[in-house]
Amino acid sequence: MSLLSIDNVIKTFQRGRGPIIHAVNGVTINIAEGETYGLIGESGSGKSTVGRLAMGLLEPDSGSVRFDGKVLSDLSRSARRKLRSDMTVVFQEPYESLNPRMTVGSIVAEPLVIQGLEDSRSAVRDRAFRALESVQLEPSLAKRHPRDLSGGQQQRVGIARAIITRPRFIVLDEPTSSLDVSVQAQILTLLSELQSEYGLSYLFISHDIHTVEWISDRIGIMYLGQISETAPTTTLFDNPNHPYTRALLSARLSPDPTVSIERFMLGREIPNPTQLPAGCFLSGRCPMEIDKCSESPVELEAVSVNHRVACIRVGDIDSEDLTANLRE
Amino acid sequence: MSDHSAIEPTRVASRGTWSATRAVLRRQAGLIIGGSLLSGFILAAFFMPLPFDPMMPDPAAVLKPPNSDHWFGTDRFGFDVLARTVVSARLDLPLAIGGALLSMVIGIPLGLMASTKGRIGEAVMRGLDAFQAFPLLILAVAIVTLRGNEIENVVLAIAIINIPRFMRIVRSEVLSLRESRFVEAAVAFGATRSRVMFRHLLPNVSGIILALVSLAAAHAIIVIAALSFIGVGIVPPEASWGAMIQSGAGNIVSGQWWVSVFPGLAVVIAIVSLHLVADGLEKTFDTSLSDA
Repeated sequence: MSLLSIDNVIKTFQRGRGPIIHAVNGVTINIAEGETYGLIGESGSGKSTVGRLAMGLLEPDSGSVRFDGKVLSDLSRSARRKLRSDMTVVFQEPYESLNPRMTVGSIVAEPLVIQGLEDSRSAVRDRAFRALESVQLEPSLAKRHPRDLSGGQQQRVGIARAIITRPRFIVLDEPTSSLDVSVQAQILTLLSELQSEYGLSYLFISHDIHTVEWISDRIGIMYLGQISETAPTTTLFDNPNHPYTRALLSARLSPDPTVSIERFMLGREIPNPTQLPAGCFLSGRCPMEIDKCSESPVELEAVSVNHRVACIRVGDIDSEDLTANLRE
Repeated sequence: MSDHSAIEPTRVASRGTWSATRAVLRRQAGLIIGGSLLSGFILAAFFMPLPFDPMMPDPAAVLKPPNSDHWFGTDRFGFDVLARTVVSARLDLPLAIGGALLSMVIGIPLGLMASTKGRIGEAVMRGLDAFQAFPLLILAVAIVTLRGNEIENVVLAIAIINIPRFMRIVRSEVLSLRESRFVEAAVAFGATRSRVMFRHLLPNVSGIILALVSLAAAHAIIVIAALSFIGVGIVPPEASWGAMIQSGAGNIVSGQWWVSVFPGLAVVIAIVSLHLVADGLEKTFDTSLSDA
């Protein structure tokens, strides 16, 4: 059974009397114990909103989020608060997510204090020191303030805070996006070490294909608040089916400069999430488009075990034909 | 991975204590100067040996210009201007600071209430708008006149007319802090509303609040002076800068400038010191600057 299941969740926002923004349009994700699910999307694709929905920080308009079998929106406020020691979060901006007036030690210890998990001050302090050690920070940094630390150290503090209550599930909302490449690698390694040590499940949100590929067991590609394709990492990278996935994968840089990646281009810009297309969300941009694409909504269909794609043309054109088409 | 925090050196470099102290002195020169001037005023008011009794006029020396006996001259009753300028700080400064602190104590919770979304916040803000439609100085005069010329009423008047500043500043600061990532993080880790308020919001406005106390005290000195000037609040024979300026105002045209100018200078220096302290406090609490 999955630890976290997001079931057909819809979330819209409206500011004042402004237009309704369709941020998340029917997303389903299941994450098993010990698994890392990577969510890739452009900015504005609704991936961070999915993260907040998964944490129960936002209420879905429809659909449900279950953690460990319990529907989050059915829980009382205090029950949900208690759950916050089982599911935690690491944010994108390490500095902004740490209170500048608190010391590193009290920031890391705060979840313990909030949840009342330890009785004595010294027990809290011991656990905070141990949490700092497990993210490879000197315990002597506990007396410092966030501004005294480097970006990488600040993010380690954010991670220490997220693991101190021994959670089972962590939302990683672009945890490496604002860091240098070398520091990114260290943080990713740390995250995967912590995962195997504590048996954590991750929802890893990012726009960076490479980090997601490296850390994830399964991947979902988000486009305009929907998942257009989801599969285990190797399957997705070896055999991308959805035109959007192909475009995304062909846009990445090749690690070998002598080998150039075949470019698969989409037309025009991503549509405004206030006016969703009637049919396939990619209609109008897709080189494989036929008339039927813009007529009715497209559902995720299984193309093989664990591999699901939201495209009605999946069976019609295999990848060879497609690249041939594109060369014209 | 074996490489860890060692390759991300902590930014705080260790420096010699002396050069660190010097850096602090240079950055906080305003706070130090302002603080020394203010404490100088208060110490002098209570402990400085005065050449003349500030409450005892000398009818034989009326409106004498500054001379070797009366350094600041005398007023039309024969009071020594220096002695009265110095002892005025006994009442003026504590009243100003007390009134500012009182307005802080009342203004912070009201500002926090005003920062909540919903009916209470909206009601508090509309009430504040209505209240601020009054000319505040006239309100202060009305309070002191109606309730009597007592010191408590002067403090109360100062507090009431300074409350709106505290409310507005606290509200706008807290509103922007509520949107910040670390508040979202605290909520994500299960923090209650009161924990968010007292651990995350208030400590981050403390610097600006302290600075505001100094500014409110500076404003209060003007208010006390204005009240005394129109004859309410601290009135003669009690010494107050405002009352002294008022009593000398009529003499300026006839050339006896010293009666008003010296207490006037004292007001200016006190206000400048309070502003220096306010600036310094804000700098001290500015989290974007590093410790060293």
